[in-house]
Amino acid sequence: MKASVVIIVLGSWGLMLFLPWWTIIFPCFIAGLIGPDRGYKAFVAGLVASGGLWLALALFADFQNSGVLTGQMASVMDLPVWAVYAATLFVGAVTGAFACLAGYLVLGRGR
Amino acid sequence: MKWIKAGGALLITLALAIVFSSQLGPVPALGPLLNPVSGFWQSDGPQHKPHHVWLTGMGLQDSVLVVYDDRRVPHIFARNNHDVYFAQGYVTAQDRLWQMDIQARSGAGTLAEILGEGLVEIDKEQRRKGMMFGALNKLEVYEQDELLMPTLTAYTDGVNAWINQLSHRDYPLEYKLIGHKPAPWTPLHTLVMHMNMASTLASGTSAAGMSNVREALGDDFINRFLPAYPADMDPIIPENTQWPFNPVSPAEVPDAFSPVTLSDANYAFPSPYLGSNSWAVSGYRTESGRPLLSNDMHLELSLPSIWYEVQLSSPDMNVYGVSLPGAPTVIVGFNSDVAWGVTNSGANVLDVYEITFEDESLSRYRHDGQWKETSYVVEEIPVAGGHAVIDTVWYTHHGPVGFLDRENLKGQATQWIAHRASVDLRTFYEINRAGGYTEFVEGLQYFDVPAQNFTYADREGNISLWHNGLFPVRWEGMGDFISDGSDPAYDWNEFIPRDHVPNITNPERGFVSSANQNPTDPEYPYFLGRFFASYERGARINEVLSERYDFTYADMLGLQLDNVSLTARTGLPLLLSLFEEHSSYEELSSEEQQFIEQLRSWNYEMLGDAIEPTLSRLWLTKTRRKIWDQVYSRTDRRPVRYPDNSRTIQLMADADDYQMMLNDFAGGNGSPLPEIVAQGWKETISQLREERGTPDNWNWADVQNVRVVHLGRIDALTRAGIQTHGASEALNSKRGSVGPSWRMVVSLEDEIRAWGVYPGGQSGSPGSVHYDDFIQPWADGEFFPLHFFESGEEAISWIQQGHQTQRVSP
Repeated sequence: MKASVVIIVLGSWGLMLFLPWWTIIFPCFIAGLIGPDRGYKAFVAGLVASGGLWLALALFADFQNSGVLTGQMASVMDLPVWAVYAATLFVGAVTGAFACLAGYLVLGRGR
Repeated sequence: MKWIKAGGALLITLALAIVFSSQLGPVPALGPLLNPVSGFWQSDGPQHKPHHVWLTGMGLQDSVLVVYDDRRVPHIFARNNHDVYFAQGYVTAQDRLWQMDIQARSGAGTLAEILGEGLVEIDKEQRRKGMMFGALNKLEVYEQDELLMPTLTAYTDGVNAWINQLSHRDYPLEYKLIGHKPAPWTPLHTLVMHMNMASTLASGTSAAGMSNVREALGDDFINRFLPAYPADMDPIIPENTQWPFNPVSPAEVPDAFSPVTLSDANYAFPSPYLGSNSWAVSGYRTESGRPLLSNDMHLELSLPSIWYEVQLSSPDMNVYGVSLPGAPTVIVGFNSDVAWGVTNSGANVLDVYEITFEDESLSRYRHDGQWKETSYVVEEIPVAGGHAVIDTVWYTHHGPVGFLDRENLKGQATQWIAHRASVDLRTFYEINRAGGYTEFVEGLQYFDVPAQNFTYADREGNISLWHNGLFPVRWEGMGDFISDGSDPAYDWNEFIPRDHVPNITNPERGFVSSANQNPTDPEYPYFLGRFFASYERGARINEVLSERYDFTYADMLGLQLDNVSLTARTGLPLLLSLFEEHSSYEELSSEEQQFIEQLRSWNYEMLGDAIEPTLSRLWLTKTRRKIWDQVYSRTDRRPVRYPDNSRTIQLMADADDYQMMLNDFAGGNGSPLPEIVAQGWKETISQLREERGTPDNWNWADVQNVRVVHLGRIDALTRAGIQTHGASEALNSKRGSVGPSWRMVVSLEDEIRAWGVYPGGQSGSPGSVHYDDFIQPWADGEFFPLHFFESGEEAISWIQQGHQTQRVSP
């Protein structure tokens, strides 16, 4: 599980710097192939690692900007600020979770 | 089973990747938008403290120093003119790229290409107006200009150098919201921006409204109530000025022409709220003994702002002021020797012509007793997510045909001075470098449209004002109505020679001023148009400037913030005395009596936290409407042009004139003035109660709702409900989303000092602290001292010493 988290965090971050956001499914998928021994663990690893990465990066960007942009974005979307974070977390976490689970299931390890 | 599960998980993963990458109805694609590495989270734009950068390579000939001060104003120091304009393009794009793109698209009629079919009609309108036609005509002469084409190209290269090194991560927020990317810039884009300015300031026309009034009420009504030279005007060039030249003669005046009505024809009246103030005071009226120049331009207030502050320095120039994002040079500002400002001219430079076609092919039209060939342009309007829309625009020698009635073989074409080839930006290129009056005047000759009152002052002590632009030679009344497109008497054949335009230098009264009002009295030998701004602001400036001989810069700041309404000062006492004559005056509630008392003791200052401005304005507006509706209700022709406040007030002051008006134009019917004024009052109070509730919600600032509107009309990025003073007819001229877009005062001492502010911020990025940081100081009537550095070293040392710009107020 630890290995999966490391692969997802480093791999996704590296890819997102240069490629479109959806390429995160590749490191997540690979992490699912080699890491977890249970399906739910693969899912959770993707959820936590990818979602955590998106949340952490968003927090960092927000901190650098003193929160001005997030406030503007929240009002553009007519949402509270926490919901903008939640939406970001959701996109990263859910995509990562299913990609990781798919990797795990394709190799079919475990019981 | 195992494979079904694996396949299912894979499918869900792919589906998520696709769904989050797609725009779903109004919801933008969430994946790219929320991506914390390149999505909106990274569109914060500059948060910088003061700093400096050296620009090199990218196509620059040498290195360029850019020093950003604490308000993020770039001070650009270049070693040649190519580099200074390259760098101007580069830094402007860095802060205002989305604004430049969207405004150029708006002018060129390509909004639908990124925003979808909802914008097709707006794009069509721009193309029928000939916006691109004008820009292309201008490009041809720019290409022949040995100074301006290199300037345009350098600026363009600078903009593109910025665009080319952007990745999705760096795109302005608005691109991420609509899922689009910036298009490359071209010199043509800059000329479209110029067309936008011409469109804003010089494309309104009262011709249709005036033809309707003439049809219903005749020339006598027009001459009495919609006069070209209003009785109370205080012209820009003082009355009785001599004009020592032989004027060019216009064509013979033809018989009055009665146009047919085109049902879908729709023209914008010139906006009475887009105006400006500018004046220059000579040294013998100032404490320092040196001239003072003041300018504030009242334009649509937008975020990002229409202006971008900048200092440009090259071996033959050092200039500071505001630029238009998308165009090189400084438009209003000062250099080490001279300062200048502008106000718009209301001169008529757009005529509407009725066109008669020979047959349904529209290939020929009537002119001068012959059938002449039309030409046409097939406009292809690209549409995001749909098929391109095709629109054919027909052209006559007058200009493009905006409206057509194919059944009756009629059309309306517009001839607009902005359609003509001109290198207007050359004026600013020259003035930015002017060392004195001669060079200033030489520079003016290139500027054709939108005609401006250029106010000037220099360190040698000269002050001057030129009502400058290209004006067709007109017979009196030409262009006031819809013109006969078949009669050559309505053609534009000759233009007023530039040394014949109204101008004045170092006048005896010791100041020059303009506030968009009539440029001259009727003795001036050319007819420029019928409708200039009403006299109020101009008269107020002249009233105050005539009073003293010890003006300081602080007085100039103060005068820009003057809230006195001459409309209220002349109109309200009449309303009050007429009301007293009516029986309902005795039956007012105690609250209304209180209002009347407040109005009686009011000083006519349009203050945001008072209710007197609200009551006075609304009462007069309703009264005016009622007076003229007695006349206009007798015709169903629309639109019609209404007489203005000042003519209405004159009428209210003269019972005989009023009765004659009713006799001559309302068939003798109509209500006595006290009756109308009493009704106006009643409706004022009931409307305020209905719309705003109790009187504590009637404050003028809440009624005005001064706001600075996001260019993409995104409400969350708009700043509305700004608590501030002012009104359209006051010098502090604000109304809704129109107001002082750049305030500037320059003191032309040995070392020039200047102050300025605009309602916005240097960065166009909503995530930047510099997005709207000037709005509050602007609303509070504060100014910033402008830092005009002699050299890059001085600028760097200023920021390194950690200075902070301290606001000043009068």
